[in-house]
Formats: sequence, C-alpha cells, structure tokens
Amino acid sequence: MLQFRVSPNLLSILLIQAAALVAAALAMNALGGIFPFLPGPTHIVEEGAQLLIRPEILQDFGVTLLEASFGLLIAAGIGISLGLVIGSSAALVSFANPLILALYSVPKIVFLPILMLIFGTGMGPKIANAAVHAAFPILLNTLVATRDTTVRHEKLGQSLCMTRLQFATKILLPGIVPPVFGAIRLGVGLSFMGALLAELFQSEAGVGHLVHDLYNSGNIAGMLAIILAVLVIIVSLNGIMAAVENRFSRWREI
Amino acid sequence: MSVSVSIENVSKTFGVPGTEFVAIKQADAQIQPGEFVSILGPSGCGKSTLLDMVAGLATPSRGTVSIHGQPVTGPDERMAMVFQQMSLLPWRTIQANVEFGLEVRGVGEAQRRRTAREMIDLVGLNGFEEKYPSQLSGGMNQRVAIARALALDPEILLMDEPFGALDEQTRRIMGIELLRIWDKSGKTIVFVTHSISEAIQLSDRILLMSSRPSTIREIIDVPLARPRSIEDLSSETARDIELRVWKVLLEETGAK
Amino acid sequence: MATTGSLLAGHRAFPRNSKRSQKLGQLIFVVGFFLILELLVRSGILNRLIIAEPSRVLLRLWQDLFTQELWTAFLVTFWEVGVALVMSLLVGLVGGGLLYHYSTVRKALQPVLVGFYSAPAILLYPVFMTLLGPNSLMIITMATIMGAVPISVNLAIGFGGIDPILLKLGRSLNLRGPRLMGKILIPAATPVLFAGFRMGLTFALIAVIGLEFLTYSGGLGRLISWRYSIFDSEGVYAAIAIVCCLAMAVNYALGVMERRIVNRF
Ligand SMILES: Nc1ncnc2c1ncn2[C@@H]1O[C@H](COP(=O)(O)OP(=O)(O)OP(=O)(O)O)[C@@H](O)[C@H]1O
Ligand SMILES: [Mg+2]
Repeated sequence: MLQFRVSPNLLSILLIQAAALVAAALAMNALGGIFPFLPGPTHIVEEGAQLLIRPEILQDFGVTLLEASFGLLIAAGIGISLGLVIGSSAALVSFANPLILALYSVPKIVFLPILMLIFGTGMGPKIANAAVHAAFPILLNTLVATRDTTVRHEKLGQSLCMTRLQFATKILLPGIVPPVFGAIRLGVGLSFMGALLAELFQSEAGVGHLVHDLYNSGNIAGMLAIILAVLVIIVSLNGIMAAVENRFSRWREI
Repeated sequence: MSVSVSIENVSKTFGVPGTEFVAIKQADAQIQPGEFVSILGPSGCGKSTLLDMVAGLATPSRGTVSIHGQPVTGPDERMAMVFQQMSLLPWRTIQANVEFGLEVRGVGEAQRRRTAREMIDLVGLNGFEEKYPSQLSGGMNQRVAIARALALDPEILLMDEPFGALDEQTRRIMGIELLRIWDKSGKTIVFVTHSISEAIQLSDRILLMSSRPSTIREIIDVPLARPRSIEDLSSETARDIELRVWKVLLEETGAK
Repeated sequence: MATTGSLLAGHRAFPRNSKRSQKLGQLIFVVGFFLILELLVRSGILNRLIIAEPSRVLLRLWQDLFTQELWTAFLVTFWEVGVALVMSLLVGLVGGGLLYHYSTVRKALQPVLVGFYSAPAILLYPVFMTLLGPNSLMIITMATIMGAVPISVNLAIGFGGIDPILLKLGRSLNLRGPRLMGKILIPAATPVLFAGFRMGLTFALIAVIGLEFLTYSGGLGRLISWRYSIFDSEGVYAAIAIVCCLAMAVNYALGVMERRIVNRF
C-alpha cells in the first residue's frame, strides 16, 4: 500500500493528470477569448502569489479554518452519539430513519437564516452552519454502520456469551470505525461549505468575505486564486484522510 | 473421430514481467467426444484456471486449447459453464435465471419457458420458479446454475466444482442425474472436483494435477462398467484407484 | 469513496415503508415537536423574534398560497431544479459510462472528482456569475455540474463494484456493449446508481436554492433571503417550510421511481 514504486500504470495516470491540468489551463485561455473579463491562468497565479502572502488574508483563512473545524467537531459529536443511540435499536432505526432521510434531502442552506436569527453575527452562525452541513452524513453513516454491525455479529456475540460492554468495545466500535471515518472525511468538505456559505451571505470575515470583497471590487483574478486555493486545501485534506483511511482499513477490501 | 477438447503444451502465468506468478507450468490432455473427464488436484493448483482456458475466458500464456481442432479464441456457443462461485443474478427469479442463457442467445419466449421448466424439474426445484436466489439455500442455488448451463444444451459442458456446496447425499444423487443426462445426450463433460469418490463415481478418466506450479501429473483411467452401482464404487478396482489418487495427492501436498 | 456509495446504498437495507402504527408514531412525534415549540414561544421561554410560533407560520403559509409572489418563486425554482436534474442525469450517465470504460482515466481523475463533490464546488459560483451573470442560466449550469459529478462517480463505482463472477458469466455468453449493459451491468448496479441519482438531486438542489439565496436571483432561495433582509421572520419560516416540502417531494418521487424500476428486473 505504502510503496511508491512508479509502475507503468501509475505513470500513465500521472500523465493523464498532467494533461488534464494543461487542458484546464488552455480552456481558461480559450474562455478568456470569449469572455474578455476572465483572466488568464498566469494572471491568476501572479495575483494569487501577491494575495496569499498578505497577513490579513492568511488571517481570513485562519478564521474559516477555525469555524469549519469547530463545526465539524460539533457535528461529529452529535452525529456519532445520536447515531449510536438510534442504531442500537432496530425499532428506533425504523422509526427515525425516514425522518432523518427526509431532512437529509433538504438543502441545509435554508436553515442559515434561522441560525443567524439565533446566533446573531460573528463566528456563531458560521460554526452552526458548518455543523448543520456536516452532521447528517455522519449521523446516517454511524446509524447504518451500528445497525449493520450489530445485526451481522449478534449471533457471534451471543454464542461467546459476550457482555454488552464486551460487544460494544470488541465488535461494535471497531466495526463502525471505517464508515464513520469515511463520513467525517465527507464532513470536512461539507463543514467548509457551511462556513463559507455563511461568510458569503453574512459577509464579515473569513475567506467567504474575502471572495465577496474581491468580486465586488472587480479583482476577478484574485478571487479565482483564492477560490482555487480553498479548493486545493479541501481536496488535499480529503486526499490525506482517504490515505489514512486506506492505511487503517485494509481488511475492508471491496 | 476428432478430439473434442485438446490441451497442448499449455502454461498460464499471471502478473506482469518481473513479478510473474506461474499458475500452470505445463498441461497436455486430449478429451474425446462424449467423454466424461474429471480434473482433480490440490487446492489452488489451477483447476479453475485450466477450465477457464478451455472455456475461452482466459488465454494460455503458451500453448493452445482447441475444440475439434480449432483453437479457442473466446467463448463459444458449443460450450456452457457452471462456475465455482455463486453466479446467479440476484435480481432475477429462479425461472428467469435459468432462462437467462437462452434469452441471451435469442431463443423465443415460449420455447425458453418450456426448456427452463424442464431443467428446473430435472434439478428437483419444482415450485421454486418464482423465488429469488436469496430465498434458496446454497446447494439449491448451485442446482439452479447447473440448470442454467444445461438449458443451453451445449455439446461440451464445463463444470467447476458444481456440487461443491451440496451435502454428500444430494451430491451423489445429482451425480446420478448428471450421468443420466450425459448418457442420453452424449455431451462431453469436463468436471472439476476436489472429491476423489465423486471423480470415481462419474468419470471415464481423471486428470490428476500436481501442486503449483502445476502439471498434469497423471491421467488415470476408471475402467468401471456403467451404470455404476454402489457395489461397483466400492469394488477392488475402485479402491485401487482411490488409493493411487490419494498417494499422489498426499505426496503433492507434502503430507506423509 | 466507497463509503459514500455504501452509505446511501445501505439505506436500502432498511424498510422505507414503515408500518401504519409507526407512521402514526412519527406523525405524533413531529406534531408533538411543533406543539412544544409553540408552547415554549408563547410562554416567552423562546424569543418570538427568533423563533416564530408554528401556528403563525402555518397561517402565513396558508396566506402565501394565494399570492403570486410565492407561486412565481416556486415555479422558477421548480423549473431550474427540473432542467438541472435532467441535464445532470444525461451528463452523468455518459460521464459515468466513460469513466468506467477508461479505468486509467478514472484513476487519474478520481481524487479531483471525489474532492470536487466532497468539496464546496458551489464556491465556484462567482466564476459563473462573472461568465453568465446572476440568472437562471448560471444557476442551471452550476446545478448541472454539481449534480452530474456524483452521478457519474457513483455510476463508475457501481459498475466497478459488480461481482466479477457476473461479468465472467456475461463473457461466457458472449454478451458485449449495450447488451451487457442492459442485462447485467445496469441491473447489478441499480442500488448504487440510485444512490448516485439521489446524491445528484441533493447537490443540484443545494446549488439551485443556495445560489438563489446568495445571489438574490429568482426562486424560493431568493424569497428566503429577501424576507430575511426585511425582518419578516414568519415569512422566512414559511418559505423554508415550502423548500423542505419541495425537497422531500422530489426525493420521494425518486424513491417511488426506484422501486418501480427495481421491480422490473
Ligand atoms: N486472475 C488472477 N490473477 C492472479 N493470480 C490468479 C488469478 N486467478 C488465479 N490465480 C492464482 O492461480 C492459482 C490457481 O488458481 P485456481 O483458481 O485455478 O485454483 P483452483 O485449483 O481452482 O483452486 P480451488 O480448488 O481452491 O478452487 C492460485 O494460486 C491463484 O492464486
Ligand atoms: Mg477453483
């Protein structure tokens, strides 16, 4: 798994990735021809290099990072504990699952006004919005995994006369780690999305505010550079977490 | 008469150069039309791989497999296969599963209903037509897979441990059924098994494979008259064959 | 990656149709929740400026039903969601088939695609605003992109996760191309496929409502942000309720469709 030998296959994968990057840059250039106000790739990189060393801008990134992390922490706490409680009982699952699924399909941003009414301004509504966005997949995955693991290994537990505590620590918790971790990974992107959407709407601080400002002041190249930076951060976080996940759940080959 | 299945100088290697993995080192065998041949060998020696190459589902790394003298280049309508793993389509009923091969080959609806019913009857699953695979036991599912292959009425039937999931009695009875079909239809059957007594019960000849990297170590004739009664199967001849096979297998797996 | 697929596919393991007594229980639970909320607001424990009483929201909802403002917004959103959904389905199916077919391309683009749909792709909206302006076209374009990505990724995962023995069966019967698709690939991948549709729908809805909300351009999302900006909190809650109903209805319709199609095979 953790070998980094370059196989012919890996080489072609890297080549395709490089080709995709070049194609994206060329496409931007071509689009720039059609839409004159769209900056070219070099312009974006230059602007980004200037912006991303300014302390106040790094501070904006810090604010967003803080909000998203807090939001994710809250979402994980609530999602996992609620998921464990509901998932431990078949009756509770079939009672609560339709309600949760119904809420799951609602675009969470509609709750932002309520959160702003409750938490006012500042970081509060952003953290809450991040938590609301990230909580549902974590709750659902925990619930499904808890139910699945319990049903699958119930008989084994009984046949070994395991106590509830033994069952929980030796079978249930190890069994739900991979899917719950996967959901938390999904939650990273979602909590960022929650924080950023709130910052864009209630523009006070953070990367969302920064993007909003750059857009309004017509600095499209700078705005694009910031957005790309955020996407790179999130995709990398996602990639790192996926690598960790693979490392620790090798038995879970599909 | 031409040879039905001919395996000549065949070897099979998996993986890319540098990290090759030799599954079959050397295999040669000729199977006559209408013959019932079993393949027996230690677990993991390449029995399924050999059968896949006959079926045209895998290509030999060296050598050729041919059917009536023509090299096999891919799956062929003259052959049908029963797989070792559960291979029913979980979203189809038993009836629809048995019809599947016929449907794919463009057989008309009425005809395929009829054939499928006959085959379901033959494998003793009357009354389960509208059930789904998940509602049947492992052994019953395996019988459905056999019915699906039989429904195609192939000239050559390739079976990879088809009775592996069955209990001893059902296995015997299915064996008798299979022999009856074989006797009536004159099909060529290549039958992979890990049961020595089953191989003796069923086959004209047994291809005995060595452990990996494998060769066909011995080809053993089973000169018992047919139909074979229980007495025949515990006769001196049968016991001699069993002993001979056991000796080779134990030697191959390194046991004493 | 696999987790997302199995997460949503896993829902199938649980009955969606609960028993009648259970439905009643769920109804009582929901009604009870709003009753308690009502009492808490009326008794002054919760601030009425922050949480509007459910009864007043209900009344407002009723009044809204007779206004043109609501119906125009509803139709705009409905239209945008519908077009985006159909388009992302088309784009997603083609994209998923290609991704499955060219496995090297899939491996190469996987981190970007997965990152893309776990990442706030919606953040790219200012780019599309610059290109297309704050209008329905911009919203539909973004919603299509956001919807198509999970659909195609799930399709590729679904095809890739099919039991190899079924593919071998197909090969032994000389099934290829569209016939292999129709007889084995699509039926075997249906659960994951629908999980993908559902995710695509969720993402398309997020894009439509979210963008209407942020850019104040047409539809129910704008209705919410507009009412919020004029401190019409009952109105905000009423509009939220409508969005929730719309989302649940579309999701429910997809569920019915799924059961129909699965029963076909
Ligand atoms: N696609 C493959 N890639 C790499 N190695 C393979 C592949 N298929 C089979 N092998 C290897 O080839 C060897 C033979 O496999 P095969 O399935 O033919 O064994 P078998 O004799 O049928 O075993 P069993 O009795 O357990 O069914 C095994 O060691 C297996 O690991
Ligand atoms: Mg085998």
